[in-house]
Amino acid sequence: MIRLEGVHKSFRKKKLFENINLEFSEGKTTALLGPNGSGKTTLVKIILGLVIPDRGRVFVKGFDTAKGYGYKRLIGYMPQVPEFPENLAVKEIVSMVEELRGVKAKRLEELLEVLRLEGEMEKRFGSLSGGTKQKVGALLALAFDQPLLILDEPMVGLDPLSAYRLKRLLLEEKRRGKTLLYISHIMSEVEEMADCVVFITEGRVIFHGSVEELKKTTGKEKLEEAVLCFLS
Amino acid sequence: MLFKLIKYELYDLLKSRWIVGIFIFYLLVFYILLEFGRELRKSLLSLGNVSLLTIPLFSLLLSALYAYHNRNFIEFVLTQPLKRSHLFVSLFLSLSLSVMLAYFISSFLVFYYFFGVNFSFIKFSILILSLIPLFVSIGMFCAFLVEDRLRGIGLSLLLWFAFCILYDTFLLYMAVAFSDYPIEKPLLLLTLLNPIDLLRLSFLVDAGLYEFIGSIGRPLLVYLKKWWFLPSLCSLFYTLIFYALGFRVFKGKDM
Repeated sequence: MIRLEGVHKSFRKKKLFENINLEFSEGKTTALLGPNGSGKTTLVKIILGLVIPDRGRVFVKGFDTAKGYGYKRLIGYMPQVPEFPENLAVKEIVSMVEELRGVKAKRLEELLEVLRLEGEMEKRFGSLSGGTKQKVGALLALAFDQPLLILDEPMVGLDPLSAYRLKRLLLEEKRRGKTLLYISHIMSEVEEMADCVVFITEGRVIFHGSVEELKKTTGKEKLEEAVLCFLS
Repeated sequence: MLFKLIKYELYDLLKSRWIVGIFIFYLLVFYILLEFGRELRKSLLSLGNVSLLTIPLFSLLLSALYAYHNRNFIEFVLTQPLKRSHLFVSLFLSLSLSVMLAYFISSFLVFYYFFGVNFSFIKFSILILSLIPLFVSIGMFCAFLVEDRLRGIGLSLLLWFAFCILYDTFLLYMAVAFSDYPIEKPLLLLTLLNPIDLLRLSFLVDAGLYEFIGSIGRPLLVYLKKWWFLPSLCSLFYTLIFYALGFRVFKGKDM
């Protein structure tokens, strides 16, 4: 589904990625793990075309991302901090994304109910709480039924009930055969959702495999302890 | 795609405190200026002087702050299937149009109340409005060039200061320091290069205050009377330069 071939990226003189080669399989859920500043968000942004690699190529379902923007129709993206024009109502933001994508949101009613956003549609985005803004981000990532979902710390800022509901929703998407790529620091969530784990530190991929393989490699029973082995 | 984006961005901007503030500011300032000086030509000169300082400043600050404040939104839009160039054009046009509308409607209302509609006002509006896209493009250029918000705003303020105040001071210094040399032509050329200086001269010509124009501007008198839109062409020239620079930065920018 996603393939990165020899990706290099530097910011000013600091090398962030040097020859990154990765493949994320179709229908699998992959968690991107790593310490703060390791380059997880940048890697996701390279796939989304927000950050332009110095060298190397990125393919999404066979499309070379450097050669056009059409592949973005396949992606539903939930940013770490969803921000939209603050004077637009939530329903206007949904309409705007519908117009930009050229399709109607398919699962709007269902998602509004699950995310408990029905009462927020008329409100200005700027007047919403941080958690509700996060839910609007989730709504827009999921509403168009794209085969690839990229989520940057989706549960951060959500109350326990909303986080639980969003997790159920994502598990349902996984069951429906979607490819999920997400960044998280919550290990229990990773253990429950991820098929694969990619561990990045200092711009290098130091582990890519299943959760079980990670535990076996480190000799630890819990994912949290296994990850701590890499961090220390 | 472009018009769809402009529609939503413009809708957001027209409801923003900035645009409402600009509208109220000019409504009040113009009302006060016209209330005290009901003579058309001199009133236009007063309005012109106020606008020449404030319109560039407001356009520049609004565009730079909007670009910084909406960085995450810009990122999100770029994850949608559309060209980077469309997003850049839409931001430029919606920012320019929103300031233009706020300025034009407020000044028109006050002007119409005192004098009705006449060609002098239309000419005056076209000249002032042409400054807005220029300073919006400068603001966007600074915001996309400099990552740090404070430095970006600082750079845009520096450019505003250079265009509105420093340039004129530099010309005066040149005129005094090299008064023994035949520098009329170089000074004339330098005056032609700054749309704000040209507009200032143009307003003086319209007000009939030829004695304030000085020796440098005198050769321009004939041209400014004949081609009153010359300052707008100069603004357009600079707008194209800063727009192109801003787009170049935005196209290759890591968001």
